[in-house]
Amino acid sequence: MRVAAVLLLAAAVHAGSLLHPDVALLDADGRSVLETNRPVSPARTCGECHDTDYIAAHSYHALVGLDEIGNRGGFEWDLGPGMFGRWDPIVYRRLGEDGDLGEAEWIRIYGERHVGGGPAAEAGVEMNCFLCHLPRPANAPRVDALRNGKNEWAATATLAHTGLVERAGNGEWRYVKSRFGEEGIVPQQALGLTDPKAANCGLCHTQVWTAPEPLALDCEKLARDTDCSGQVFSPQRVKDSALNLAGKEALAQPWDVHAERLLECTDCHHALNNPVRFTEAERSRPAHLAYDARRLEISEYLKTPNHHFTKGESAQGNVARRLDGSMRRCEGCHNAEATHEQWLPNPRRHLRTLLCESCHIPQVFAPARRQTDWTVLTEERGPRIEYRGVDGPPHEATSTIHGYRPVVLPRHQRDGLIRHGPHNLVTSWFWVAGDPARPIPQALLESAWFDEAGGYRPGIIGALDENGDGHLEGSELRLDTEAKVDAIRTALALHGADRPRITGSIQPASLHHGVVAGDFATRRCETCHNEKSRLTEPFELSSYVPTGASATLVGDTNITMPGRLYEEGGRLLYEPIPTASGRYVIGHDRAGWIDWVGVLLILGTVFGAAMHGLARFASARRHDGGAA
Amino acid sequence: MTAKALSILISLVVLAGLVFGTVVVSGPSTPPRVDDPWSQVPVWPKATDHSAFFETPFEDGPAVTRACLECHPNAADEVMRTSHWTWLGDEASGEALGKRNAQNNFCISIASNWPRCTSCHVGYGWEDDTFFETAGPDRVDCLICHDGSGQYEKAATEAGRPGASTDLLVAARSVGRTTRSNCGVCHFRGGGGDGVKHGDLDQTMYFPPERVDVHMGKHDLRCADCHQAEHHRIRGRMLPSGDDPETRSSCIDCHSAEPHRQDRLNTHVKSVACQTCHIPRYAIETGTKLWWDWSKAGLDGDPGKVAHDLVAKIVEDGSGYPDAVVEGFRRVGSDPDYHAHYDKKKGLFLVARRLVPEYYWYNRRTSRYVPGQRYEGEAPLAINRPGGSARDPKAKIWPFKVHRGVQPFDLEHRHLLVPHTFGAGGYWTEFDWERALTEGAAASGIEYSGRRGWIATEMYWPQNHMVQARDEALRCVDCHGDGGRMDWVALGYRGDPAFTGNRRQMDVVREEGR
Repeated sequence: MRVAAVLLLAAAVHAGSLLHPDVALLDADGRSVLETNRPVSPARTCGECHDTDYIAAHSYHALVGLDEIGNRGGFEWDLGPGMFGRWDPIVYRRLGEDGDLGEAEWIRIYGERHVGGGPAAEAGVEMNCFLCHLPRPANAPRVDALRNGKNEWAATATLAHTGLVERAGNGEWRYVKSRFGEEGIVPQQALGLTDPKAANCGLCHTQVWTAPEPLALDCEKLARDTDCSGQVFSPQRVKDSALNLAGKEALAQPWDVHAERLLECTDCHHALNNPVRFTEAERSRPAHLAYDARRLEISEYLKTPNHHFTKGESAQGNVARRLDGSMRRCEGCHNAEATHEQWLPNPRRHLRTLLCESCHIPQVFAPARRQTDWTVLTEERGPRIEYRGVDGPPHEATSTIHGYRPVVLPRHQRDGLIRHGPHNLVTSWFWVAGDPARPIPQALLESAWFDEAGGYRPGIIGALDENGDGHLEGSELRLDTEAKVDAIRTALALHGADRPRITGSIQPASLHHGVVAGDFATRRCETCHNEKSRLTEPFELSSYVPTGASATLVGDTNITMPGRLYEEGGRLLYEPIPTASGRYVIGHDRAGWIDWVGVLLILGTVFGAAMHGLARFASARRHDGGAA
Repeated sequence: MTAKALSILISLVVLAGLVFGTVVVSGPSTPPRVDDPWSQVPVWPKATDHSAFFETPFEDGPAVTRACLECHPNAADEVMRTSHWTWLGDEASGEALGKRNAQNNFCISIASNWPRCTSCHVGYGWEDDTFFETAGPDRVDCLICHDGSGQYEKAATEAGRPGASTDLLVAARSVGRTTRSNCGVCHFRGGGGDGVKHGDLDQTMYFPPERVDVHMGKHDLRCADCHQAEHHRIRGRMLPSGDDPETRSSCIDCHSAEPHRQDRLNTHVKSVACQTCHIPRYAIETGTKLWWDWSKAGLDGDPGKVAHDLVAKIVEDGSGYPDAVVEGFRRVGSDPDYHAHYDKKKGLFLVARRLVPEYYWYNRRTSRYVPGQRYEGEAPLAINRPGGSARDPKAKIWPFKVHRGVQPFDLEHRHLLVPHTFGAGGYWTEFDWERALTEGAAASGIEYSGRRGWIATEMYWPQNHMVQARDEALRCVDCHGDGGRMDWVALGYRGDPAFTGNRRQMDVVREEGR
């Protein structure tokens, strides 16, 4: 009976879209858009039934750090830890009174990865319910609207695939009345409002691929998380993808086993107060209670679904750190001890020391960013970018993708444990100036590098053009000699930079997706318990180091990098050393005192046996003598 | 008892206690799940070399058989009791319906067309319906199953007799255990051509790569490794009306009934046939027929042009055609080789490859259309239909090729008609339906009123070959979720069972004894 009830409840959740009523699209004044021809207001439209004010106020996806301004960020100049306030060396532009990014421009730049509301609300960008709750949101028109400053039309543009709207010119949209029902009501069949699917999340986060066609990466513009980590969320087998992936015919694993097994992002990252999925964190649950049966009424939940979603403890998830660890982790669904005790020695110790991902994400099969170098500017006025796991530019068909093995780093969890998990490390090189140091604004960089005609300044070409062909390309765009650094430093100073110098940051990206099942996970003990342990493999941080520069780990992450940074062949490498964080890896590490104890034990045993034999011999001689 | 003996006894008791205690503490060990298919694959004895047994050339096929019978006196008698000889259905139940008298929606019926159809009979000279009254043991064709020379071949239109170029002496000297070629020469070409009928059997199976069939590709199995025979009764039936395990060949003849490491997959086994996941596609390399419209036969002109025009009409206005057929024709719309889709003798075909099966419940029993049976139902008429439903605990979801078509139908008697197609006076030479149906009726005994019409029919072909190993098998997402290939509601579920629960959890079916 209980099983049936759970199944029925689960069925109801998955049939949610069938339950959603027809809706009237309303404008900001609550009037039908068919009457006013004004932009749709999601807050008013959805607010007819849902408490959209509550939702917008309880959504770190909307707030993106607005409510955390003043909290610690990754850099000393950060206003806060979220996307709104934290300097992102990939985007480069910086918010703040002394920064070079205003709020309007923030929307233009960050809007493609922001659901609206929060810091964008005052500029007319409402929290866009359609982006996450339509089965086919039109993201490109939405982003266009934001880039063109048509903020109020962004939500309307998201409806483009429904056929309810069409372009009206001038960046605005008009309504196709024939697609509306009686009295301007939009049938649910036309909108298909539903709980968010992985593809919705993928619009901002990572590459999601659920189509039967071979998976292809948009390498010209990788989704942010895919770019930084190589993670791809798709049920497709890797070998069936369209990627130019070395040896892929042998890669029968799916890109992500959870995608293969029908999980959606919201199955783990659900609304905090979702009564179906809510489980109280162990740290706050009374010791006597295994399960709290009291649930929020479903009607109350639908009225006020808390859009703070449960989250893990990723190294890069800086916003809403207070919610870290609120989601069910692997062990919340899987009984790892039961499945590992049959073959894994000391499973409990392994599971306390290692995140499941350490073995279950042994390899990443997409390219991931290795370094971003803002110390130089390309002809497109962007940084020089390099990827790991690919032997050329990732967007070129002739590049062969090899993927990469993530580096395993210790993570300091909220529960006090230190567990090791797989990561990518993205190094950024950039100029700072002044005191206190601040990244040199992009406009100043550009003016130092480019002349009024848009070409490189002669002085820049003279300093960097090694082959003398008058162009800067390939390895010429790197500051790997003191002379080159001096030339750029001088140019920057000439354009107003105060004591410009190069610095570097290392941004970790922890891997939690791209999980494989046991058949494809790391299973061999000697992978780690070996002189050449996978846990201590050197990890390339940068293919070159700007002369005189050094890189440090960003300040707002929960991982550490015990070990050493060193240069070899011009490259910057990181070698993890487990003992530096107090970890002893059997088979790899040596402790001198254990060796001495072993030697003493052997010697003691030999000595004891010899003494015992000698005593027996002497005793026997005495007995023989007595008998004689 | 001395003190020394007592101390030894005490030591033994203590030692036994330690051993016993260790066993108790360690508890009962769960035996590992065993799936050792190779242990079930027979190790065949080396075939006797027959090359020295025969010296003089043979006059004809029966002469070879008589030579065989000198040493294997019971062989012909055994063969003549099998469905390979009788072309009637179930050997165990004695079912009287089989290729010999049934109708299908390919070439329709062998009646009146014997010499062409019986070119695949395991005998010599089945030219008319008197064959079984007169045929003796020497009419059994031993060579078609045991030839190892590779040059023995029955002529296409000679009622099972070998072609003139066949060297019978060479063939007789080469005999041995049956090979893929022996079986494939008929079974891979059922329906009148390579891969036409079954979908999972075509000539790529002679030497298939692993991507076509893991058993015969990677593991190099022969047909007879699974279709094992005893007294020439070979296991394996396509669609018998009864379910006699003795006549069936099954995956679990070699594999464990619960071979997966994951319990969830083993739970599936109660409702899903192995073939469903392990045959994700059929007709992998060679096209198979999905649609055969006899009503379009007889059109003159370049076959490619005729096919092009017919296909264009269907794609433009698909009313009256099954969705799968319209979609299939839409996909061949860009196929420059339209010749494969039309034959003036036979009509319009849809030929396609790399096909996703259709899925139906199947309890290994089949209902059949009986020749002459009056049919008052709506089209399409199911010439056979797999038995079972979601409510049948013995039924499993099984992959099928469904061959659909249009064929002659008597509007007055309301039954399927038998056309005389092959040979003198047949449709393939005269292109006269009236004459073909009249002669077909005379030969088959299925009456023709003179009121000729057409009816859509369908036949279900369970897929058993072109098996894929786990790396190519279906996965959760292939069947479940928004993009899954199963129509769960049509199969009798409330919805996707991954979310609504399986048929046992939802009380759609109850185990016996519950």
